[in-house]
Amino acid sequence: MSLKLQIILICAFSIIFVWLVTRVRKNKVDVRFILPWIVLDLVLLILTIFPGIIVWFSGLLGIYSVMNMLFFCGFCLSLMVIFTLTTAVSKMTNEIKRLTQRIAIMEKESEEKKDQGNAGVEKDIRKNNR
Amino acid sequence: MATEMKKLIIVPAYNEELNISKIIKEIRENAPGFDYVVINDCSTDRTLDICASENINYINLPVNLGIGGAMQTGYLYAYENGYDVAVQLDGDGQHDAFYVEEMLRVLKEKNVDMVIGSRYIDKEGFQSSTMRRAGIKYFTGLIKMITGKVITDPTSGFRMAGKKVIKRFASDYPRDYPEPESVVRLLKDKYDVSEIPVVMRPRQGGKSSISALNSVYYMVKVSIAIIVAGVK
Repeated sequence: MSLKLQIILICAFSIIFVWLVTRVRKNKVDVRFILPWIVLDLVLLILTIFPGIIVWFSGLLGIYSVMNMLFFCGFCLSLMVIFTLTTAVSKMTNEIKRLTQRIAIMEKESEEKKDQGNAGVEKDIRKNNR
Repeated sequence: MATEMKKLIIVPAYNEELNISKIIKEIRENAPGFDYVVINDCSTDRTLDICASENINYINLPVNLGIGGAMQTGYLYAYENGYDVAVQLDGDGQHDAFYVEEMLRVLKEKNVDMVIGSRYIDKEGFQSSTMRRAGIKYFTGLIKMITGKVITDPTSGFRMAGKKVIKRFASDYPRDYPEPESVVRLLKDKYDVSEIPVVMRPRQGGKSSISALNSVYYMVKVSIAIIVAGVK
């Protein structure tokens, strides 16, 4: 990695780090969801500051170019971030489903109460087994 | 039993304006001992209007949840209102309410947790297309491999559930294409499932939830779900 590229990357990752932290401080994003991004950014920053680590790792995995290794790390961490999102979406889908079902049943119950209040209006509920 | 059983028919309906009043009429005539509830899955047609104007007992979902979520709403309703038995009966007119008494008899007599209405025991009535039959055969084989039990019609949406299954489905039911997956999960957890022969009709209007494009997704999704449920 050339010194020029190293400096550019360090600057970029630092700016991104500061930006991420301000997002959290301004309460725009929940810490829970920003955390993977902060980890991603910090890991890339550390790897850029100390290229020795990455050179060692590249040798270990048989990757020739240090830059490739850096991209590879970024890619893997991005996948991690995407996966946490998938998990979050799946959880939310279930929560929304439950809420929808609850609201629907509550709505029905309040309708029934209203109908019981209105004498003469009888709904066909067919509770004829009791 | 000293007290009468509380019995419910759950009718999930998505855009079934053409069928819904006929189905409810049939239920009233052919299954007089049963309560029923229509789950309107946020239909975009007049299903809701028809339910309201014809005094049909319905639950209206404010958001479209798909067949699994709608069905589960019915089970949740059954569970919270203390029903002993719940029957799924599709809102498209394929299932004949006439059979629910027979299902109930088998449920009680064999003392099982679920009774499925199967098209493929007597092989009478609407048998679905060749492609779909092949798909269903494949699922039957897969389920046999994983659970050791033969379910001739695992995709049947015409099923009766006892109290234990109602409770379970109220808390845990697959979201889409739920039938085969939920049967496998029951079998894996040592619930008893039985089948009776029924005659189904071709759907009488509206659109099937499984289009040609979706069928590949259906096969893959359900296969994976069955295998995962088997491994768990």
